[in-house]
Amino acid sequence: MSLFTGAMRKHVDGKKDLTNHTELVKVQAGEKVYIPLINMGSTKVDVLVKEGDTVSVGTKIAMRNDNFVVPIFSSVSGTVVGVEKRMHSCLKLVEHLVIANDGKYTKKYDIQPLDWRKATREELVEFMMNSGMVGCGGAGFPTYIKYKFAKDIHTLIINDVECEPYITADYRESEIHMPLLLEGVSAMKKMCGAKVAYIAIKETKKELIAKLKEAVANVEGVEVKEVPDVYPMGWERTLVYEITKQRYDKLPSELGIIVNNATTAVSFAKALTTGEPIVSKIVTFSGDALVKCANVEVPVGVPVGEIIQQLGGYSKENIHLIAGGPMMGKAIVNDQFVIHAYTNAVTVLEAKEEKEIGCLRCGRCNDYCPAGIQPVRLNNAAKIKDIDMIEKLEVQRCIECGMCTYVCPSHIKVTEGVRKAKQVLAMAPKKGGK
Amino acid sequence: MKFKLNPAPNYHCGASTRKIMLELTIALLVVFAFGLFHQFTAHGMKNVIHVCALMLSSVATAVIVEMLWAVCVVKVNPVAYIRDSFPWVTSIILVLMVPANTNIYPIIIGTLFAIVVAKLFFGGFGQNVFNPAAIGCAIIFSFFATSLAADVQTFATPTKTIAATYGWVMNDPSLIGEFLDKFGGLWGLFIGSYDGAIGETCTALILLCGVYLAVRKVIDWRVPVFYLGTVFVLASIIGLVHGAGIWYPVFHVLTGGVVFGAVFMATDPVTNPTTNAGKVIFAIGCGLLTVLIRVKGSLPEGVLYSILLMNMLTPWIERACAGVQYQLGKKLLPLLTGLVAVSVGLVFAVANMIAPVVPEIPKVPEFLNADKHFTMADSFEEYPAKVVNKAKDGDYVVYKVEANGYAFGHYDDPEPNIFLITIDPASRTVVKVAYEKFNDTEYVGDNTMDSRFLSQFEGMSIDDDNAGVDTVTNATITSQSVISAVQAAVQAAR
Repeated sequence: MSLFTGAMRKHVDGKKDLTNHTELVKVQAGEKVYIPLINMGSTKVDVLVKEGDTVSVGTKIAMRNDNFVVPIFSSVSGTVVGVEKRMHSCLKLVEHLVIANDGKYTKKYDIQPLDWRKATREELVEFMMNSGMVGCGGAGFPTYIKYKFAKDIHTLIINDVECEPYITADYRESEIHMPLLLEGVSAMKKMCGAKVAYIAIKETKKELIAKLKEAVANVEGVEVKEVPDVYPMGWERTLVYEITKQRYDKLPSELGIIVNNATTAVSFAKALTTGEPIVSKIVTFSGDALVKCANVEVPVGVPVGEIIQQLGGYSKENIHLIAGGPMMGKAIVNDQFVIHAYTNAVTVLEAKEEKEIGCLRCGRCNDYCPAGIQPVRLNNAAKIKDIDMIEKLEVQRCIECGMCTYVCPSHIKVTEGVRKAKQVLAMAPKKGGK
Repeated sequence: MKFKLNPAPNYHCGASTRKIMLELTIALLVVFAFGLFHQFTAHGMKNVIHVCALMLSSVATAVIVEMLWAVCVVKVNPVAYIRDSFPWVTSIILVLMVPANTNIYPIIIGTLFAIVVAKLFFGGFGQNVFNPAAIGCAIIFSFFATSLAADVQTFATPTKTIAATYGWVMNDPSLIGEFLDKFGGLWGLFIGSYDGAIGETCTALILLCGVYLAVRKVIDWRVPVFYLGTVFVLASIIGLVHGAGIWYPVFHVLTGGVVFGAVFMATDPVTNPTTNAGKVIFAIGCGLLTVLIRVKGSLPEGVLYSILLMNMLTPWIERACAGVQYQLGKKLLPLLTGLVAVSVGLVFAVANMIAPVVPEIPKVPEFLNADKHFTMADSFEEYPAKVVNKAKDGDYVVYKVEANGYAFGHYDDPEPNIFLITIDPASRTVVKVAYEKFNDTEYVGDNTMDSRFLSQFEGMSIDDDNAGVDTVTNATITSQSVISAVQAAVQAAR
């Protein structure tokens, strides 16, 4: 906090105890799995198999084919049934490849393991691309891009902060696969040429910190960095500012920094050592409207409804079924959407009606906005479609972290207002046009 | 099973505007409670009852008017409407800003203006441009200034006194002491043991409430800190120009409701800019206008109008503060530098336009100035004096003399002034002239009673019939009363 800015972050009740220490539940796929043919909103995906083809766990079945290369793999063994449009966790209808599960989970990986200690940087980037590594923090950004263009990188930050409430999947992944995490971090550190890698973790996760500190003692150039228990500590900008006290314009690479999620590092290490791409995930199922809260290990492509039935079902009548955490995850109107390669949580909360009242203009949304923009004024500008003001207020910096709605004492849906401001700006005639 | 659609986020911190307003209301009631306590200790139960009646009538007016508005105009449930509109907050602030001798009908009219014109006409809670309580108070002060006085007792406020009697600055230590003593000194001003607006006097308590509200994030700390800081710095400049000392800026901060305004009114979020940078500019502007209005305006208390004027500038400040907040510092640097420079310049100029009051000292005359003096004989004829008592005091003789003065011919049942005149029979001279009881008007004879006037008689020979003393402007009759008393004593001593 300084004279002209607020805290730009806030402690949020994390509800992590619901799943932090509960047993890891293994859920098997049902008769069919549905692999989403989408990556980061792009549906320009080539399907590489046809109806009737036999596939194994790890068979490359599709490939994103625009400016990014992202292969998509089968998570079960069985037969390709076809392509079907289903509700996806991004709240759109998206094509899914349907595979009939034979229940055998025969493994036949299309990619070969690679010894990162011997491989060159270029070989590693190539491997990362071909193994379909995506950001597992929830965004699904193709990881290899960050390393392909890495230049003058001195610091790698491994994001193990997990600031979204309810989610403990990264915590579990780091705890269970700690050797893999360190392998992945070391390989990534070599790829970008960083001198030091920090594993950033919330200072409240005492047990994991102690274990990690012990583990990194033998690994050169890797340190554990404790960060405050605030939201959105896991956002790249907030995290980089916390560690370096510097702000960047567009990408952390401007400051010589690459940020990657901890689960991404674990997945990468898994692929390097065994050739296994992301075919299953640890996903946190939590919230006050679930009979049982737990971390679930489940193959990609399994519908959420099936998993929740195995956990005992819902405990409330009116619910928000959220793909992700309650801050950024979207509430989906049915439970047929599936676990994706970058799904880390499903949160189920009882739906409560909150009455919205007049804006007090208190400016709390400004104070806590981690992007430093002014949500209250964007919300107002969107209502009157003031395009100039929306532009001046730099709406494009908003990442829809949800903080403004979260803190609003008048229960105004400020984040939604800012989304509308983005739409108003997108619909506006371009300057100089017409 | 129903899956409800709701845009993210689906999580809330639990804060609510109702809770914020509840905390604000409690803080205001604490200040009101102190106001009642002061009225009781200083003036008694009558004032307490009157002040409670003011509060009740204002709150009732506000609540009833908003409920009528809800039914007739907005067409919603009136109880639900006022629960989220908080009319009582405006009322409480308004009552705390007026003096205890305000009549009931001005407070009702002020409340009506505040609620209907300043708030509801603009669209209700959250939409008003001006602070409603400030509008209500401005209406009361400008329309009912002369009919404020209800039948309850109050004394002149510090700001009114310094404005009317001392021209806003003084540097003579005796005057400063005399002035501050009327209000129990700076400490008295700090703890609020003097008469002022009902809720504005106890700086200590208001600051305490302010700290609590700032910690609870009900108000933003930047506004009171920069407001009071600006008033302090700018008043220091005036003080430095006239060599007035540190008490002067402290006095500015402690009086005239500036602390109340800074904590409870300038912080009203609805009429503030929403950015922190904007709040800082807003607060500095309030501080500047407060000092300028006080020292050079025709109103002694500039807080109210400074806030209303800055309310008017809020949209402009907002426009200046568009952009990413952590980049605003650089963007606003020229504006802030300009604002500070203009503030300092203006206040420096204004400081040079006022002059400190110097205490009026009776002119010490040349002892026997033939042109100007009255002889003792002249005085004695017009204002007869008689010795009523004679007493020995060691080697001296003390004569108690009654002499008619200004009171005769001006008041009903006049009483003479009573003097004690000490004479040394050995050297045949007057040793000392003092008064035992002074019955002339309080102000007319003040200068005559100054020791510097009375000391002129010391050493005068009792055999000199023509001995005289220069009289003092505005106190001729009184001074002649003194002279004839001396004459009577001298004749008795011969």
